[in-house]
Amino acid sequence: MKVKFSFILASLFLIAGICGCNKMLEVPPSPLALTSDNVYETNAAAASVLTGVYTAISSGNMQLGQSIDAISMVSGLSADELTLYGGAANFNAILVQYYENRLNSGLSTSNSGTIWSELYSDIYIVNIAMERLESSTSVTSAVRRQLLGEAKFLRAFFYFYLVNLYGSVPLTTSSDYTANSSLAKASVQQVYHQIVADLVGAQSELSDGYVASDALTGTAERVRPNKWAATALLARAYLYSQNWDSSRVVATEIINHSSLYQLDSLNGVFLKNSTEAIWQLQPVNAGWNTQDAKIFVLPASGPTSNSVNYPVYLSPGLLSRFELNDRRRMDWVDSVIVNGTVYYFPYKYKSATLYTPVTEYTMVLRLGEQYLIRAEAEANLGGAFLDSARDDLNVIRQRAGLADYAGPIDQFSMKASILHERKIELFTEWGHRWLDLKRTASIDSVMSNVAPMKSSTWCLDPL
Amino acid sequence: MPLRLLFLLSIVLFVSAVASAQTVSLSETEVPLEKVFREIKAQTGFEFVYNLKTLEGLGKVTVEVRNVSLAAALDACFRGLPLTYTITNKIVVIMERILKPGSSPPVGAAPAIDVHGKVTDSFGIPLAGASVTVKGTNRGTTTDAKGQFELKVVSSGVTIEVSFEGFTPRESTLKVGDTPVIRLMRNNNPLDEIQVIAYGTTTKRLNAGDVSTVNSAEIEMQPVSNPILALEGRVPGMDFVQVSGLPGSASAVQVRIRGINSISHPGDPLYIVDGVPYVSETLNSGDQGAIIGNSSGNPFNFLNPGDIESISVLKDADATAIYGSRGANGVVLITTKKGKEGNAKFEFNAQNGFGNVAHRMKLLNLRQYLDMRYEAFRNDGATPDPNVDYDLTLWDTTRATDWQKKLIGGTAQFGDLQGSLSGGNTGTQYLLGGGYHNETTVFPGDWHDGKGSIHFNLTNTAFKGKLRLLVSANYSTDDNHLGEIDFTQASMLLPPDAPNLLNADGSINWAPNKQGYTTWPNGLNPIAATAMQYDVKTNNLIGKALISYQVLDGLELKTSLGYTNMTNNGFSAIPFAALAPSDWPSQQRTSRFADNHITTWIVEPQLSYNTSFLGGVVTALAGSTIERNLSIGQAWNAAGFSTDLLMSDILAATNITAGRDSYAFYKYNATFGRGNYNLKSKYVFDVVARRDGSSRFGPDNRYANFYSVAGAWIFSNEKFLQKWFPSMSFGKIRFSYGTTGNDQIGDYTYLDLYNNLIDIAVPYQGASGIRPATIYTPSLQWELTKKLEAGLETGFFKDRILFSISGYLNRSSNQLLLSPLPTITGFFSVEQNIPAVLQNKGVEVELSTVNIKDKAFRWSTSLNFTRNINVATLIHITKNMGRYYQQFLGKSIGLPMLVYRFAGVDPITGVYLFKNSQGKPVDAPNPATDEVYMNLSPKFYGGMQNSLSYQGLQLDFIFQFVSHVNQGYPFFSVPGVRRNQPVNVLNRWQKPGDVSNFEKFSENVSLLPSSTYAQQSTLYYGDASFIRLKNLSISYSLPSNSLKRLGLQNLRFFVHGQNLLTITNYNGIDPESLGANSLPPLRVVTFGLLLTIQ
Repeated sequence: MKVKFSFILASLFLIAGICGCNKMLEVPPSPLALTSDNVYETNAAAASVLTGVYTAISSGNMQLGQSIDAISMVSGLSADELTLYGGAANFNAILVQYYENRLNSGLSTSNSGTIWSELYSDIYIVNIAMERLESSTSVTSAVRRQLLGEAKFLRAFFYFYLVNLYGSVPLTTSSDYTANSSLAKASVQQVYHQIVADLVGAQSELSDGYVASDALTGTAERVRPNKWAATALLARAYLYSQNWDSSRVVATEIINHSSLYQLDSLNGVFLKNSTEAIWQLQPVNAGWNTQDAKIFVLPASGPTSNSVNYPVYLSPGLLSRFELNDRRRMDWVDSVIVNGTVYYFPYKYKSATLYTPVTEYTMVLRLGEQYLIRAEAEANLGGAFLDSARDDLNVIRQRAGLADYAGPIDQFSMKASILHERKIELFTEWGHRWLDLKRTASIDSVMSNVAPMKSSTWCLDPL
Repeated sequence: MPLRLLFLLSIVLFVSAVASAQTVSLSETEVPLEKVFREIKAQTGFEFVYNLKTLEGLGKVTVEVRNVSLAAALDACFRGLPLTYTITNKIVVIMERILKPGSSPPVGAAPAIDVHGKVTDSFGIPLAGASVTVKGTNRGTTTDAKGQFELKVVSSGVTIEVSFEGFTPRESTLKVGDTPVIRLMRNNNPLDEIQVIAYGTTTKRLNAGDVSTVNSAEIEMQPVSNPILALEGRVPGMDFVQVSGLPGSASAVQVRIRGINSISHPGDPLYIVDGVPYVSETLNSGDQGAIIGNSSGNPFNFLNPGDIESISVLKDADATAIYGSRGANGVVLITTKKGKEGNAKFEFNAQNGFGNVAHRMKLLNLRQYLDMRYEAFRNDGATPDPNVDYDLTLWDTTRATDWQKKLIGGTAQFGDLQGSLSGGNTGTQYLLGGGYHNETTVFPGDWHDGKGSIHFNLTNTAFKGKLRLLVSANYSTDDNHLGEIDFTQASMLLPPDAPNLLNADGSINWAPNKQGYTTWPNGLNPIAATAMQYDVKTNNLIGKALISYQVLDGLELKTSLGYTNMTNNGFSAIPFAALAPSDWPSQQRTSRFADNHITTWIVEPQLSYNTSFLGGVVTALAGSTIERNLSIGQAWNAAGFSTDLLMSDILAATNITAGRDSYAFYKYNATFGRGNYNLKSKYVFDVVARRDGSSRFGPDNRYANFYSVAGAWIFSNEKFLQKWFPSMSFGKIRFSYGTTGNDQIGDYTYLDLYNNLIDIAVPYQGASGIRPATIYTPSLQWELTKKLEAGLETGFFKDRILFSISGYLNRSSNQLLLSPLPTITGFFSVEQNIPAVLQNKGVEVELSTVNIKDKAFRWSTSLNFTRNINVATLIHITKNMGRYYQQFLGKSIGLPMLVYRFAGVDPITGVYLFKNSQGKPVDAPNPATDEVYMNLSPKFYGGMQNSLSYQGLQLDFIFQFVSHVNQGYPFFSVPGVRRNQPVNVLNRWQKPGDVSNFEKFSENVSLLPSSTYAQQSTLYYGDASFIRLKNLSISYSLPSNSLKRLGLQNLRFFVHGQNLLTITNYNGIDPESLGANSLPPLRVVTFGLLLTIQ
């Protein structure tokens, strides 16, 4: 009897013991997917989060006009660089909206698959990566610093485009979705403050040279940001926030770092790992070089309005602004003739044939821009800096086979010349023209003339 | 932990303080009578009074009875002993019986005899434990395991009464030299049929909960390969949608019990086969790439209906609360057949039959079609383009084909074989069964699905009945060659003058144009599908073991162990033989391979205790559940084969890419308890509690408690009722209230999972990238459903009329919903518990009558009716939620559908008009403001079943009825384009001034928006109500004298028919499957025989 009773008790303990402790329900995460709890436990997994961000930017479907890498095209359409084939009748309604400068609020705020949402989606990733890396104890310190730096750099890069494309935007710096979902817009100054802070932080954390996907080993591939990428973007951020002196100082640091960066030949600039590249994106799509080449380089049949393939060509307005004998007009522009009509197209990226070896990478930051940044900063500082501004401008002009700047050396003329040079040098690259128009308050005067050519009307303050 | 233990202990202590059963089970070998008395006392609470001298010298007794009355148990104990007894006020007085051996019987009385007899059921199966009493005395005995009994020294000519629970009692008069075999007929009183409930059994009479049971007889009548389909029309509160009639007919059967309790995770009921949870979702873990085919995924295809003894559907809180977090959507308990005590019995069931599509849509004939096309061109001011409009420019416009006849007009073959061998003795029973099932399709081509299954179980009793052991296994293997193409859509849309499918030489006719390109719509001759390769193999194992030990009188310790493993291997290929030759240069041969596994195991230790307490019987149960479920799936795509012949060899591919893969691990633990108190079969109380834990929720919210209380008052057992309403033979009022939960939100939902970036051809820096796919939401909680139910069950005229009505109110709160998030969070939505309450209320009525019942003829009818109203209420709307939720508020959400209000065709322009929010007609309504809600949930549904028998002849038929509204398919796409159309479109607008419901014909896409709006408008929806003769079964059993000659126990011939007749005004192809794109449920007729040898 006693035996039986103890048997019952034992089984009761068994039953009671089975339940209750949470440990029994602990499920290892699916081996097919990691969670924040274990991603930041190893160097490799943590690095692959940032690799995922670069991959995502580089795998965007640029021709749809909805991914981050499409900024080059859609901003070119918004400004005076590109003509949309078929105009309002183009198949791609999103491109039409950019082209006619009538982006509605629906497109710019909450819709899925827009540049806006892509940017915030990536910002969430770098935010959570920063939080988790800060507290990670098992990622080794060198990798941790590099990844933290990359995350900060990327956040600054994303906010740079958010603030310049959309104005004052909510500034999310944490992964807490409940707090973020009720966040108000931050002022442009606040956003720039954050951008600068992130870049300064990134400068101190990022490695000096380029690293491989393990965020540690050195490599010749310039596709992960390093300290100089942060520096380059910082120079630009200072310039945009009219902090002329800092901009000049920072740009000078890169320009002087000639062991790593030197201007390349015009046809060499956009090759992979060119000496001018500060940060490039490696193409990831099957069989293709850059998306820019795939879309911009027109086939013999010319542009298309009824499919997503070749929607744009260079606007006559831009073309007419090249100076005579500008080699960029020859090396960076090409054309096709369809039924007697000549269509010029951007030819900075040339490899547009499927299944040809990858020779070109998408350029995001390059040395050429730094010269123009410094020139503009110096022009704005005025006085003794005006000569240096002219010298920097001439560096760019000389590479393009042009004579040195011969105009008057005053602040107004220099600024205008530099703005013109930016238009020619940086066309269809990452929205430089559109952003220049906006920040230099020349947008209304320029666009009022451009809009009628697009069969649209320019309305002040479109966003 | 200590608290929990205390809780459990207190249940047991409480339980042991009380004790009783109305029935007695004894299993004693060679024990003193006193011990037997103690045992009976423990079970019933009855006291024994006797003089010790009376028992002196009587030796030891052996007695083996199960669930018999006290009197029967005592008779069994005293068999052959000179003892008798009287029972008064729960006291049994034992006395000596005065036997006067050799003394002469009273003068004039018949001579005394000893009688040896046997009691069997109508099939001759011995009934053990039947009570045999001499009429007018309290002398009697019970039958032994072989159904035999012995009555010593009775007068010849006396009458004995034979009774056994669940059977109609019978009397028999004894004569000298008799060895009577008394056959008892099952009394067919549904109130006394065994009902399987959670962790036990009961009867409808005593159940305080709401349970509907369908037994094997009803399941076997239906030629279905999915056992769940056998429930259609038979279970009130259970709503079915059979989406397709493909063989296996299970590609998608949607089952809802009492509406939907969750806005976004409606989910299936919990299915349990012999105590083991059965995966009800298709073997596809979130991606279609992981599973191949039309009908290979539904797990119920891999359960053999022939193996099933009964299916119980548990609905209210009392019945489902013990399943806690998984009971919100109802529970379906499937019990497989078990071996029974008796001689070895061999049963064989074979049937063969055919199926076809019962109803075709009325489409335009060739002349009407061509006229439509020409009119469309005239309307558009266009002329047919010889490069596109092949139907007018290239094809033979004098040659018509009825594509429905050609593509879905075939006859599906249906073959089914079942055999089983069962039997056993008191200690051990066994059953070994096997089945084979093969079905083909109504499509052209060689499509088939073959299934084999084995079912085995063994029950063993040892240590004087204290140890019970049950082992069972079901294994099935399915070889599916059903293809991936449903020809139904092509049969609707192909122009009547489309070319022959095959060339004269039997090759596929690609009907090339001058340039050599095929002219078939979409470049696809439908018959090309027959050249595709397709093979999906599925194996399914369900294993179970149950060990129970009776530790003390009334206290049983039990552990059940279950294991299921389903594996699925799929292969499909598109060879060049299935592609137009003109496509070959630009195409590759592609194959898909898939491999999926789901494994579940479950352990459930349980303690049960019976005792009597305050004159009633207490049954208590405590137990716990540990369950683990792992599902893994992979798929690969292979391309670049050099020949069609090697496409099943993945190594012959030049390019292999991983398809999606999936992995999910689910853990579930619970502790549960139930107390049941039955006072004199008049008052029944039930209390259930369960504490549940599921790995699907965050660490802080993994556990939750569920409970229910229920009571029933069987007022027909009150004296006053028996006195005042003698015609009322049964009356019960019951109520229940309790909570259940829903954890069907998918695994890992609360975690912030990082996915590999897929389809990256050239990895960035050679490394793969990962990306968070979801947000970490540790606060996710269960959806909670509170169920309230009240029911009235009555029986009249000795239960010949049974009527019951139940009303229920379910409220589900804490709804888990994908809530929109501002984009700046980085996500568009997040799974959240929101303060919304979803309400289901409804009424279920059941009426069954035995209309005629005499010796030869019997006719009974039963009717069930369900009305359910599903409404979302009390949604708290915050700023961010807004419109998305408002659409549900106060609306019936069963199948929420927003539609435009159709406003006719503009008599001037001939295009559709719709009412905008102000009620004004517009040609392009605004999706944001102009849509109105339409309720597609069934208004009511039910079934009517009739059963008639005349001697060996039996006829059963069931009508199913559903009242609902749905898409009626009055037209397809834009009438006038190169597609055939329903005949409705002939009433189109033709010229200004015409008043019509169908806009003008057009051959281009300019009317596509208008037509699309119309398809989302009230025009497209109509009454889809129907009454369907779901099943008809006629059988003939050979009379017993013929059987005897043949040496058989039973031989029955039968005809079964499914979906024989449908009465409906519905325009589409079938009012149940509701579509014009998928094959409707087939009309199936089978012929067969059932043979039993014992």
